[in-house]
Amino acid sequence: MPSAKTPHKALASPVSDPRFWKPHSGVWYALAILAFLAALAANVLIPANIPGLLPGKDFSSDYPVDPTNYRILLGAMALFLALLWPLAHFLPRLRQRLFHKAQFIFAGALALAVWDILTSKLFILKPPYFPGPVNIIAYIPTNWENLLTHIAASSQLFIAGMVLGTLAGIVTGILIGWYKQWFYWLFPILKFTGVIPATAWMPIVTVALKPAPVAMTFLLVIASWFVISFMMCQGMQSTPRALYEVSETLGASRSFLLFHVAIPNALPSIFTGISTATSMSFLTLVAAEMMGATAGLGYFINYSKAFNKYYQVYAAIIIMFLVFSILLALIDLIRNRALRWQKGLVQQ
Amino acid sequence: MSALIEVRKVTRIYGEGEETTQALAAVSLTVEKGEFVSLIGPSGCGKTTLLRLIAGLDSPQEGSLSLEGEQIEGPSYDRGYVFQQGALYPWATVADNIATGLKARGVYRQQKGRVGEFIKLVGLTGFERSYPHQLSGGMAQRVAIARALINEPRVLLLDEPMGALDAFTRIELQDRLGDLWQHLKSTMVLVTHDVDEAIALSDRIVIMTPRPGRIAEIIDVGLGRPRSRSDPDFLALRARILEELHLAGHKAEPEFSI
Ligand SMILES: Nc1ncnc2c1ncn2[C@@H]1O[C@H](COP(=O)(O)OP(=O)(O)O)[C@@H](O)[C@H]1O
Ligand SMILES: [Mg+2]
Repeated sequence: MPSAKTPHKALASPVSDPRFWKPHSGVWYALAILAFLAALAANVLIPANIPGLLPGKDFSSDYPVDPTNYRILLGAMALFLALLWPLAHFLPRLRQRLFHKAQFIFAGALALAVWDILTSKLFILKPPYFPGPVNIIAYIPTNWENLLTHIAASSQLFIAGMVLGTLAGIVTGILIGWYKQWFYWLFPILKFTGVIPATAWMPIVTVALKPAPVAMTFLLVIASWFVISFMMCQGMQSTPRALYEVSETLGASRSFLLFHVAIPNALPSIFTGISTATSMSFLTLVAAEMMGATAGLGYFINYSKAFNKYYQVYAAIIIMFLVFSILLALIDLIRNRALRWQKGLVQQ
Repeated sequence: MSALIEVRKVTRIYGEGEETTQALAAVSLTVEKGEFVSLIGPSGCGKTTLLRLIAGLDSPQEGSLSLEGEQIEGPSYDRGYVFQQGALYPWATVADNIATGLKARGVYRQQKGRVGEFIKLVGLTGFERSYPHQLSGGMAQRVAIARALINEPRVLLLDEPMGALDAFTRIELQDRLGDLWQHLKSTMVLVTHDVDEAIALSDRIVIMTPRPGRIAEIIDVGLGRPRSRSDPDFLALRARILEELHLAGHKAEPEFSI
């Protein structure tokens, strides 16, 4: 963003919008709505051409094939987009965003239709390995309670690991970034352990720590701790000398320099660290759950695979995607709020 | 008037072995209370070094510095400092930047009201909640000046605060700085490479020469205030200082090159 001479004033709309650069007309948006309707029509109208596949033999007898949920979803999407349109008419920001995304939504709807036709209609992609959207979406609500317990199990571990790891990371980061002795002793260790994926410790951690959830939490703590302390330390050490010096001429004590100069200066790095740690923790969580857990989405994937219920694997992946997206959006929200003083970070 | 700052035969050498730079060689200077003194000279003549020594941000190898008879041993809020690039805290609003001195000294709660006062004093009312990246260069320097002045320092040290500004903003800020100096009856030491700026603001102008850094001459301005830049006396003094600087520049080159 160019530096505005008057504060808190919206930029005049530029000639070509760098953020919403796709066509500004509603044509693609209308096409996106039509695409969802077309996908719905395809599912209703095209007959299933089952090439001699037997339930119970080629796929399990409880294979979910009821297309109702899928059809409701497609109809709901079309309806939702159609209802947003008049609303967007009054909200120019929303309209710009919607119209900018229209091509992507359109392509998404088409992709769904193609996927549906290739699986449930033509059986070019066959069960059990390649379920269609119908099968996955039919499954999720029927087993919602079971899925929720797995989501809860994963979330508990994840939150415990991230919170502890972040706290530990920030504290050690401050110690290393501020005290020479701590830097001397801890930094080389941090650098070494930082390159080792947390999952590599798994055999040791699971033997050393009991019960299993404690071991898993510890793994997640490892996964986030090192990145965050590393970034915290780096962020503090990148403080311009002039900021320390000017603070000293303003009467700052050592602790004022730490809490009012070095730590605020590290804030952008901390958030980079937290973002990286979130991804790494998530990776560690799923891997650890797949290797040795009795609950959680990772465990659920592994267990579903064992029973050839691939529609459950896909369902778990979709749920992971949704939960993780929400989590990342939340972190972004906090970050944008905490770093609103940064140049160019306004409204992203 | 009494001596506020005394710089006695101060020598500052940077580097080790063969690669040494004598930034200051036995420099002595006295600044009176309430005085406006400018340091001027070619780049590398030790202006910043001298200012940093007074601030206590650096210490000399030889000689000593004192403020009202007390030895200067480190930075303190009684010597405010304004950096060339402002050095504002990018994460803090204009108001928070200016309030820093009060917070650092633990008097913020009692003296909160003064933040608004100083914002008004430097003409930034309405920008209290802006962040540094939203400010123009001139506005940022005004914040830096207010931030230093809120501590009521015994001397304000300014290192080319207007060096990076365009000509128009520079003159505007010079006038404002002159007004602040008169209004607050403070003592100021300004490093500059702009002769007009030095004449417009100063009681005395210290001309320095490089390699090694020395004081070549100290000029009493002796013009009435407010000063007009087109006044014949102003222009005569300007010509004299430029001549002086020109000579200083030539004298230094061949004899002392390392
Ligand atoms: N930290 C430093 N390390 C090494 N040399 C320095 C340092 N600071 C200044 N110098 C040198 O000392 C001389 C005087 O510098 P300075 O006081 O910044 O000059 P001025 O502000 O007048 O341009 C220059 O030759 C400069 O290169
Ligand atoms: Mg300088």
